[in-house]
Amino acid sequence: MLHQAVNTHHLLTWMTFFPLLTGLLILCLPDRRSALIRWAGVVGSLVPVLLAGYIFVAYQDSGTLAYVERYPWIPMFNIEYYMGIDGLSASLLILTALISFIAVVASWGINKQIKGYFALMMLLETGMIGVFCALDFFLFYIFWELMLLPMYFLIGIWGGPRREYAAIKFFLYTLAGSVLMLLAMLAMYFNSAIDGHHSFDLIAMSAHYRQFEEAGRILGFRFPLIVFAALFIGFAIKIPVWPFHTWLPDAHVEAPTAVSVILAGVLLKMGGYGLLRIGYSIFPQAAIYFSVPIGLLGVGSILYGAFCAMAQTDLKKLVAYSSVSHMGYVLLGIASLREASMVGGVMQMFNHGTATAMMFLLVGVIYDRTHHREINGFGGIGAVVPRYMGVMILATFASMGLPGLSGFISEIFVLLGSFRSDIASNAGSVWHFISFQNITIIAAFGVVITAAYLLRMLQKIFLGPLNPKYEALPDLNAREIFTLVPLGIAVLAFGVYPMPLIRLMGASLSKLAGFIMGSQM
Amino acid sequence: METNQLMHPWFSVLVLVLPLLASVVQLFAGKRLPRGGDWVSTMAIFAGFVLSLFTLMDMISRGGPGFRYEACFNWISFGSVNVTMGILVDSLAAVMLVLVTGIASCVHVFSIYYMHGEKRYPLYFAYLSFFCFSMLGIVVSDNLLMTFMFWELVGFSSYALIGFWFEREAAAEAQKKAFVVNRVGDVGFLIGLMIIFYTVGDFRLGRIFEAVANGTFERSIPIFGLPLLTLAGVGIFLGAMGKSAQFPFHVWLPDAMEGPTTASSLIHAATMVAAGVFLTARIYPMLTPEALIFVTYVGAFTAFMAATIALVQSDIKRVLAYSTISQLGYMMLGLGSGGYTAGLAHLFTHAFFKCLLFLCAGSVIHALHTQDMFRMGGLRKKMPVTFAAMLMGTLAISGVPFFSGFFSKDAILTQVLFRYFEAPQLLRLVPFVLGMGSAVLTAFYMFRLIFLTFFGTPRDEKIYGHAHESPLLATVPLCILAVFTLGFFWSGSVDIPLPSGEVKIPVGIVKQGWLEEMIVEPALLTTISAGHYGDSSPVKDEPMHEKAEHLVEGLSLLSAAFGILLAWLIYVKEAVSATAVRRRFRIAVLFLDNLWYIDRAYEAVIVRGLHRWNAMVLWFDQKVVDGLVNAMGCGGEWMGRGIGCFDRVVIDGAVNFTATASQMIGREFSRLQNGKIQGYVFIGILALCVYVLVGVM
Repeated sequence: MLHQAVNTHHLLTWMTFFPLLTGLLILCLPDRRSALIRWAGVVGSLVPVLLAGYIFVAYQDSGTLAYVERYPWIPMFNIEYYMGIDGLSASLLILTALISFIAVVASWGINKQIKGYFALMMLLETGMIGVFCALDFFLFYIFWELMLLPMYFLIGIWGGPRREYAAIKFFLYTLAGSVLMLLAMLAMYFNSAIDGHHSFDLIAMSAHYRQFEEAGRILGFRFPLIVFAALFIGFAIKIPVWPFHTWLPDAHVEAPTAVSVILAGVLLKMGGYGLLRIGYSIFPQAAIYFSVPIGLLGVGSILYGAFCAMAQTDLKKLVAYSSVSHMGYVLLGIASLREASMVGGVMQMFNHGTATAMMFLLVGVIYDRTHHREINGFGGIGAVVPRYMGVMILATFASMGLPGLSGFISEIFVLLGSFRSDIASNAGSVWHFISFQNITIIAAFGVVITAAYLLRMLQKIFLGPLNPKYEALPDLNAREIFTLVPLGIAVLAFGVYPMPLIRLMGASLSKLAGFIMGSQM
Repeated sequence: METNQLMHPWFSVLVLVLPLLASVVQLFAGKRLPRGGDWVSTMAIFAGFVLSLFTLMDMISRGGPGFRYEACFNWISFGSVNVTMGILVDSLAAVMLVLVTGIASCVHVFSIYYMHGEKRYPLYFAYLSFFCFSMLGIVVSDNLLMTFMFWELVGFSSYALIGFWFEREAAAEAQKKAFVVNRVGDVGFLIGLMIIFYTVGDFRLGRIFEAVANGTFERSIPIFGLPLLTLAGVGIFLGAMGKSAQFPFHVWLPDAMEGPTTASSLIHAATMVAAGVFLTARIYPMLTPEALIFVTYVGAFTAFMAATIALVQSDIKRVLAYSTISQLGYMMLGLGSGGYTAGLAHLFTHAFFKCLLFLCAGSVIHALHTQDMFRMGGLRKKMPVTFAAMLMGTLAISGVPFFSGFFSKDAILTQVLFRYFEAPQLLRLVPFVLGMGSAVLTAFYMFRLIFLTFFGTPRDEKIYGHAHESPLLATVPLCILAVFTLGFFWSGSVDIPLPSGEVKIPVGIVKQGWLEEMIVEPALLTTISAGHYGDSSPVKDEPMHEKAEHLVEGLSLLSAAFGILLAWLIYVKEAVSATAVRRRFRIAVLFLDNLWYIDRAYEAVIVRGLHRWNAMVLWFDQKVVDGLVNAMGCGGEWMGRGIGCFDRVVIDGAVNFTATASQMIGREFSRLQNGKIQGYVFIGILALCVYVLVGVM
C-alpha cells in the first residue's frame, strides 16, 4: 500500500533499543559503582535525545511515513517488525526522548538500589519510544506492556508511603485497559484481510477500514463501533479521561519525582496517541459517531479536573488533577475532528508534557528541601528563593495558557478548531441537540478556573509574609537548573513561534481530519 | 489599503521591541548595571516616545485619518489554517502610541524618585518595561488574536506589578483577584475570537470588517438564539469590560491600588484600563446596534455607580481608583451612543489628567507615608508644585472650562443627549441622566479630595511636620503632564486676524479640536477622500446636535459649579457638617461604604460557593468515582478470597477426603493382616459360615 524506501540507518531501532542495551549493561555493573551506573543511565538516554534532535531538525511532515523499518517477525501470524513515524508520532517521540533524559538526570538523588532503578528506567524508555514508533499492532502491544512493568516497580519500590497501593492500582487499572486493547486487537486481526491474510499492520488496516464494516456484529453492536469503544476505554484510562482518572493522583503522589515527570510527560500522551493512531485512523466512522460523547468527556475532564485541583492542598495532587484538566483539551481537540483542533490537541500533548514535567520537577525540588508538599505549609518563600519562584511562575503561566508560552497556542487552537466543528449538527444522530459550539463555549470557562487554582497555589507558596521556618531555604542548584532549562526553552520558544512544532505534525493531522470527515457516507 | 508607505514603517515595530529588550536586560542583568538599570528602561521608552512622535508627524503629513500602514507575516500556517501577525498604524494607533509612550516616559522618570531604595528596584523596571511592551502590542496589532495575546500579557504585567510588594498579604490577594476577574471577561473575548474564526477564518481587522459588510455573519446559525455578530461583539466587549473595570468586573481595580503608586498611575489609570476602551473602538464596525445599547448601559451605570462610591472613600488612592472606573464608564457611554471620537477624546484627555492625579497622590503619599485623607490637610503651603498640578488635574476631571475634561466630557454627554433627541423615549434619557449626575458627583468628590488634602489646617501635626515638596525628578513629570490638562492643547483653533495675516491660534473654547480631525469613525472614513480630512464633520442632524450641545454646555457648567460649591461648603467652610450629612443619609452611606455590596456578594456567592462546590466535586471524586474503583478492587479481592475458600474447602476438600478415606480404609483393613494364625482361621470360618448361609438361602 505505502511504498517507502526502507531506511538503512535503522534510526528508530537505535533510538528504541539503545536504552535497553544500556539497561542490560547497567545490570552487569557492580553495585557499588553508583556513579558509573548513573552516568551509564545518562548516556543511555542521551543517545535517543541526540537522535531525536536530528529528527526535529531533519523531519518535515508531509503526511507520509518516514524512517520506516519493516521486517517479518513471526511470519506464521503475519506479525512484522514494522517501525516508522509520521506527524502523529514525531513530536511525541521527540518529547519522550527529552523527558526521559531529564528524568534520568533528575534521578541523581536516588540512593536505594541504584542499579535496579536505572535499569528499569532504561527498560521504560525503550517501551515508551517503541510505542510511538511501532506500526504493527502486535508490536505496539508488546511495547505498551513492556512499559507497564518497570513503571509498576518504579512506583512500588521507590515510591512514597502508600506506594504499594498506588502501584497496584496503577497496574490493575492499566491492565484493564490493556485487556480491552488486546480483545480489540484480536478482533481486528481476525476480521482483517490485507492481501488475503489476517494482519496487524495498522497502516494497511487504516487504508482498508471499510472491511471492518462488513464484519459481524459483536453483542449486537456494529463491529467498528464496539471495537472503537473498547479501544477508546483502553486509551482513555491512560489519558486519563474522567471517570477513569483516579489512578493518576495516587500514582503521582506516591511516585518519585522522576517517575512523576515521565508519567505526566510521556505516559499520558500514549493514550491520546493510541486513540489517533488506532482508534481514529482505523474506525473513522465510529469517530464521527462518538464525537459528541467524546467531546463531552473532554469538557467534563477539563472542568472536573480543574474543580478537583482547586480543592487540593497537596501540591503534587493539585498538579496531578491539573493534568486531568489539561488532557481534557486533548480529547476535546481530537473529538471535534477539525484540522485546527486536532493540531491543537497533539500540540497540547507536547506542551502539557513540557510544562507539567517542569511542574513536577519543581514540586520535587521543594519536597527535597522541606519534606512536605502541603500548599498551606509554606508561605512567602518567594522572598528567599527568587529563581525557584521565577521558574515556577514560568511553568504555572504556561499551564495557564498565557500567550507567548506554549500552552496558549495549543489551547486556543483546540477551542478555535472545536468551535468550527459542525459534526454534531450534521450527523443527524442522537446528538443533534448538542453542538460543538456549545461544548466549546463551556470549555472556554476552564481557563478561569485554571487561573484561579494555579494563582492560589502561587500565592499560598510564594507570596505573603515569609514563614520563618524557611528563612534559609536554598535556591535551585545547578543540576536542577540543568533539568529545567531545556523544558523552559521549549515552553517559551514554541509559545512565541510554534511553527517548528506544527511542522512536525500539521500535514498528517490535516490528512487525518480530511480522511475521517471523508469517510462519512 | 493605501499603497504609499510611511517614511519609517519600522519605527512602530521598534517602539514595540525596545521596551521588551529593556525588560529582558533588566530581568537578567539589572542587578549588575549601575543604578539598577533604571536608565535602560527609561531610555527605551523615551526613544519609543520620540519614534512615535515621528510616526505621528509622518502620518499627519501623509493624509491624516485616511492613511493607514499595514504589514504582516504568516505566523502559523498548516492545512487551510493561516494566522498572521502584523502591525497596523492608523491615526488612532499613532495617537495612542504617542500617548502611551509619552505618559510612560513621565512615569518612568517619576519612578526613579518614587521607587528609590526598593529591594527589587531593577525588577520593578523590568516589569514596567514589559508592561509597556504588551500595551504597545495592543496598540499596533492588526489582528484580534494578536490583540488578545498582548491583552493577556498586559494582564500578566499588571499581575506582576500589583503584587510587587508581595510580602503584603493584601497585595498578594489583590494581584490574584485582578488576574482572575480579568480572565472572566477574557472568556467573552475568547468566545468572540471563536466566532470570528468560525465565520471569517481570519483575525485581521480589515478582513473581519469586510465580512461584516458582506453579511457573512448573518449566514451562520445563531448560538443560544443570538445572532453571531452581536454575540461576537458583546463577547469581545466583555473582555474590554474586564480590562476597563466596567461593572460587574470593576472590583479588581480599587484593590489593585496595593501596587506601587507609580504603577497604579500608569497601568490602572492611564493605559491598561484604557485598553478596553481602545479595543471597543477598534472593533467598532463589528458592534451591532444591540451591542452598542449594551455598551451604553454598561458605561452609564458604571460611571454613576463608581462616582457614588468615590464620595465616601477616605483613602486618597481609592478615590482616584473609583474615579477612574467612573471616567472609563463615561468613555464606554460615549462609544456606545455613537460618539466614537468623543469617547476616544476622553480616553486621551483622561489618560493625562488621571496619570497626573495619581502621580500627585504618589508625591503626597511619599512625603507623608499615609494614604488616609483625613490625616492630611493644609499641604498646599508645603507642597506647592504638587498642589498646583493636582488642582489642574482636578479642574480637568471636573469639567471646568479651559481644561481638557471640559471638551471631552461635554462631547460625550452631547452625543448621549443627541441620541435621546433622535428618538425621545423616557428610557433613552436614563444614560444621560446617569452621566449628568456623575458629572456633579465627580466635581464634588474630586474637590473633596483637594480640600481635605491641601486646604484647611493639618489634622495630624506629626505627619504634617514630615511633609516636604518632592524633588525635581518628581515635579518635572508632574509639570509636563499638567500642561496637557490645559484646554487649548486639545481644542480647536480660531482664526485671529493679525497684521501679518490670519493666524490659527488654539483657544480653549472651540470644541472641534484636532482630535476630531484625526480620529474619525471607521465607517465615515470611506466617505472621506484623503487630503480633505479637515472637514470631516460627521453627517448628522446639525440643528438637533447644536441644540444638544448648548443644553449640555449649560448643564455641565452648572453641575461642575454645584459640585465644587458643595464640596467647598462642607470641607472648607464647614457650613454643613460632614458627619451630620453622613448621619442624615446613613442608609445610603452604609450602602456606599459597603461598595454597593458588590464585593460582599461576590465573596459570599462566588468565592464561597465555589469553595463548597469544589469540596463537593472532590468528595464525589474520592468517595464515588474512586470509591467505585476501590469497591471493584475490594470486590475482586473478596471474590478471589471466596474462590480461594471454595477451592480450599470444597475442591481441595474433596480431594483430601478421598485421600483420607482411602487411607483410613487401608489402615482398617491392614489391621486384619496382623500375622496371627488364629485370626486368619477365625476369618476363614466366618467366611465359610457366610458362604453356607447365602447358599442355603
